[in-house]
Amino acid sequence: MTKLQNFILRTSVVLSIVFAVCPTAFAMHIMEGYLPPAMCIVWGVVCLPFVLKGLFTIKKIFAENRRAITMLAMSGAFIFVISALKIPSVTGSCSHMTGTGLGAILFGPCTVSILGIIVLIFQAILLAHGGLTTLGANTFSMAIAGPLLSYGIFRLCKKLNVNKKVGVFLAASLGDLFTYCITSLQLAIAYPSENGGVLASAAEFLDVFAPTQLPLAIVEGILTVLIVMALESYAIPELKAIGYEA
Amino acid sequence: MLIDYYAQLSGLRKYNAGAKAAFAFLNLCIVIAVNKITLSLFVMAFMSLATLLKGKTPLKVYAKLMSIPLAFIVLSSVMIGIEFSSHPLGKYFISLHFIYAGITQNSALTAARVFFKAMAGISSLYLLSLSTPINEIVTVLEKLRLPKIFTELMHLIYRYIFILFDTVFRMQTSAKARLGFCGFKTSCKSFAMVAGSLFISALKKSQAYYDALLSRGYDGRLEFLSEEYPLKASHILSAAIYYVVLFLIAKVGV
Repeated sequence: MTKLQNFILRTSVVLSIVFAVCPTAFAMHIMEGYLPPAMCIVWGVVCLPFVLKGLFTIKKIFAENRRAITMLAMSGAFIFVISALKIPSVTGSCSHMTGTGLGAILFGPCTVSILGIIVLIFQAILLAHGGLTTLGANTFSMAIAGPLLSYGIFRLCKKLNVNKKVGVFLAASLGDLFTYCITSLQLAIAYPSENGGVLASAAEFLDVFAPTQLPLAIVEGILTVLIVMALESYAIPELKAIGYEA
Repeated sequence: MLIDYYAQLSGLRKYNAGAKAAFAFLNLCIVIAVNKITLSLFVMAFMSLATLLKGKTPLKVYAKLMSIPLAFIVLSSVMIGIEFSSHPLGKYFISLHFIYAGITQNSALTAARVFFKAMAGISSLYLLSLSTPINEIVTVLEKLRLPKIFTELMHLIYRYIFILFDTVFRMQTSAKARLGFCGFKTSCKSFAMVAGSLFISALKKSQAYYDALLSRGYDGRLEFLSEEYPLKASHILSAAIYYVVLFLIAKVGV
């Protein structure tokens, strides 16, 4: 059997399971109680330097401009609200944006790490997406790894003079995909397959979430482009105030 | 925001917030550290009953909330339970022509453990979130000496979320009234326009709120008041009894 056949088969099996079991698509939050304690602690510690860096950055912003406090709080609330809205979807299922790609493009990765961790805490408590013990793992995938990649791609595309729409699309959708890969990897490390270890298990998790996550990443990319375009045509002064370079 | 609404009405509201948070969190840690099905089932039953009977959360609401994470849990537990391989594996397997999907005793046990552990974890989280409004939780975090900037931001974001939700619902309603959500392409466009104008109005509002803060004498420190409920000896005693029972179950369970 070739690799391709194997892949097609797996995907089709998984597709049928997904559509049988799960009518709604979720952003990739790891649920409460899902990870063993060692993993909870390890991912928390991995997040620490990024969160500290974010904290120092915000402290500096506040020292320079006190007005930033209400602005940052509003931005955090904005990310939360955007991620709680149902987005238009092709299959009729209900899905949500992660919003962190947009956040990274607008505010930069350092600020987003702090806003992201707060948003994740609120999502866990108010919406039951994610959890307190899995906060470290979720923070790493959704508030650190995804935004960092999004921001990197966004800057790179700008340097290479790629069309801005393409750049924003790539940044948002690849950031989203990266988040989903990291989450699958986190699940796989926590629960490796008996005969094949972490990699086989990671492939399983990637497969099972692919049918919901791939279209979602593309939709997220399109929406982010549209939002950034809308903002650039109406809100250039406000964007400059938060440090976004048009 | 269903959870916030029922948290305000909860019968467990008047218990000390710090104690509730500590109780739920310790409980979570025990559940994931012990990882036994009997313990998870016990915790799940206890937490659900406490939320339903003591907290007086309506059963319908609670069932709906419990079903939110179910899709994720079922899906990933199935993935942990099923092993793919090129040769027959374990007790039960089906041949998929190219590969075999099998369930071994170990993988099934792991999957069941993970499933119940996650359900128990979620019911413990609900005990906290369905009885304690966020501002009280943030006050607890403040007492744990988290950085002041962090907790101030949390307080403010919690307030602003409701303001923005209100704004966004009005925007979406008016977009719907103009047939803004017919078809996929139009929906995407309307969504982006709503999100864009939401951001602009959010920033405008943030400036007005800063001026409001200044006019009330803001000098770089925000103080939030939140109600404090005393910690009763009977609560500590019942929590202690609960943990002893938990310990005994952890000793004997599978």
